Amino acid sequence: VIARFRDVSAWQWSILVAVAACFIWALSLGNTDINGMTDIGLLSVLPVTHYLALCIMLVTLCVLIHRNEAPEGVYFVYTLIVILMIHTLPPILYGIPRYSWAWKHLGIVDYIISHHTVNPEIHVQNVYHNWPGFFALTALILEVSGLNSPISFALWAEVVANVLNLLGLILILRSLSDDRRLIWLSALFFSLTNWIGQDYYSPQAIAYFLYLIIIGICLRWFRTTWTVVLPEQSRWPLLQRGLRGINWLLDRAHQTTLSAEATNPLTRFSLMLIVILASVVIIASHQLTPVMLILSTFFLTQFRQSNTKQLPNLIIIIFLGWSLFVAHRYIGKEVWPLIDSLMEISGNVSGGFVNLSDLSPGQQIVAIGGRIFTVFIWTVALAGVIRRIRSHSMDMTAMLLVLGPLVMPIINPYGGEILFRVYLFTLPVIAFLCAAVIFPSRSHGKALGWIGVASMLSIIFAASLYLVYFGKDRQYRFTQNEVDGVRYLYSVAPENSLLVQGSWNYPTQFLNYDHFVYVPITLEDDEVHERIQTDPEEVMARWLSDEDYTASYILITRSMKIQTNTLGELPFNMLDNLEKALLASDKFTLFYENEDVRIFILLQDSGKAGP
Amino acid sequence: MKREQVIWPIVLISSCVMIWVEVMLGNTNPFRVALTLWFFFVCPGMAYIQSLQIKGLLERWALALALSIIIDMLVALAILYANIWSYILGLNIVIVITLTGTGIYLYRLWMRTHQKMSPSAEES
Repeated sequence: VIARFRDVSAWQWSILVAVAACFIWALSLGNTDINGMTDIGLLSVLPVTHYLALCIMLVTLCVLIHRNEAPEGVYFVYTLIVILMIHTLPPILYGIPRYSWAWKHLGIVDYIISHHTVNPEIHVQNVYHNWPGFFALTALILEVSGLNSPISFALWAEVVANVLNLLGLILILRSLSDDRRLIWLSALFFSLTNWIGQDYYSPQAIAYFLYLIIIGICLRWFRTTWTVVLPEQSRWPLLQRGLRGINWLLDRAHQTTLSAEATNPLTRFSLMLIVILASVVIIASHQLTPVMLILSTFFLTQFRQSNTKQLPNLIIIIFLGWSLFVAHRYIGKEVWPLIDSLMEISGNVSGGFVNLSDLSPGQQIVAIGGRIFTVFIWTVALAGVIRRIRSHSMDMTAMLLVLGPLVMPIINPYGGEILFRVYLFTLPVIAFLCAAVIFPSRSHGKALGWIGVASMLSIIFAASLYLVYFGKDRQYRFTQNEVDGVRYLYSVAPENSLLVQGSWNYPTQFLNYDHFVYVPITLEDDEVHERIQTDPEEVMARWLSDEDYTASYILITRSMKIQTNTLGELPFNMLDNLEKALLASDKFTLFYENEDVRIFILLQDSGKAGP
Repeated sequence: MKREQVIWPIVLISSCVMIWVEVMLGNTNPFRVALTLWFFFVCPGMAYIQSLQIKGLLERWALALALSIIIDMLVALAILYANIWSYILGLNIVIVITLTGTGIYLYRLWMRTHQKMSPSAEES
């Protein structure tokens, strides 16, 4: 019997290991008390068994990759299980979509279903009405599915986005290398280092998947090689020497470059059509991704890595066409700030950093962890570049794919988020280069010690991911009580209502969102905060008695209080104190109350506010 | 014509029929939700990708999912901007697109089989 077991190859054992890990993982979910979360997020409440299950999967996958014996499907399923173990945590444990900005996207879908159109000049969230592709898609699918609300779509969006990204990524990776070990370790590293949180229910999540597909098609089926033609006359010897140097570099680069996959003309034509249509869809859905796409395709075509010469020009034309003829109302208002931010690199970059001194101790750890994690990943990637060059592999294509996004901080701050987006768009290549530390070429990485290095890197990446990706979940997680309370308010409040809210951090704007004018207290200046603290009753009564509005409300929720206290957006416990003052006041009455939500109105307005 | 070559056309045509019947009957159940997601995320793209010469299962799935999203979104945008928003219209358009792709695939398959079977092909 023992001899029989010995005959079973390593990858068949891995099925049993995966089943065992999944079983341990499932058991660990039952022992997770999310209400006990501290301000380092989900990390603080997950039991040891969860991490054990994940580590088993990571180490086994690294062993499988190193042995390079298993069928490709095994690597895919293993990577898929790792993704599911990580990204199904929010939907299973919370049951409610996290991130307030995912909720406001639901509001646009609700608007399209209610009005059967978009309003590019609407007073709030007009950007989404100018780029409505993703929302129109969801509205169509939602209505056909017969569901009343897209909340369940939003709940599982992170899982779907990460699985889609894996497929798109494989397309790119297989055009960068034909070493299976390098491809699948890169895919694993990508899944473990994608901490940016752009995989939630959003236009950019779909746009990013299509971006990966476009780049994958350009490199896989439209790959080309290039050498510089040397001038015959040696009138400029220096130039000739320079060109010869470039040719030498290109020649070395092409020695390790895969050629385009052979296919028939119909397939090539169809793939190019997919690229063009995907570009249209990206342009109709998101503002930043088309710019990244233009930059990446520009560098790939200019350096002849892809023979889709006219593609960047075509994307620019479609992009300008959309901006001028569809989104012109929005662009008209935003063009001057955009021009102002051109070349303001330091301002564009620094806008993305939070002031650490404002944060709670736990959030400081999360913020510092994010920075260290990013620097670490880039350092490992740099080591990968060196290892690749030393093994005579020059990843020119990969370098060009990094170069495109790196130009972005020169152009636009993107609401202080540009550094995060640069990280995201360079990540496929960065993950590839990190994996190249272990497998720089086919002849490297065969010693058993490399399993240890790969496993250790995977575990470090996973630990960092849990800290940074789930580190803010104490404030970004919402409860059913919060959803119920806000839904009640959004359902009964008349059009043109004033909504004074503690902050934006709650399940926001998901229903009848255009019925309100929103005043978040966090966006008021310090002087106003001081006045509210000194005499909350007087300030709120003055705000709510504005005759311009049909009805007025004050909304305070559990997640607003947590966020303002942990991020230091308001003086400590200010919302608690405001709540107490309003409860004690004879000018205000409770319009709605549950464990996590309180909505106040002026006593004199109780007739106008709704049932 | 091999059996595995006609599996996808059967799946695609059945999906079109089932989703249409479910929506027309006005059923609201988890099956309709699952069928809707399957239909919109897989069927339109897979109908066309089957006709292309793409190596690799993962590549075919990646392209099929991407193309499905592209087709669905373009249809949704078209009916939105044409001010004729109706989910039934949107569904019908996606069904027609899917059936057209399946038809093209079956026609090409039939042509290939026919060419192989014809005496001239055998002679050549």
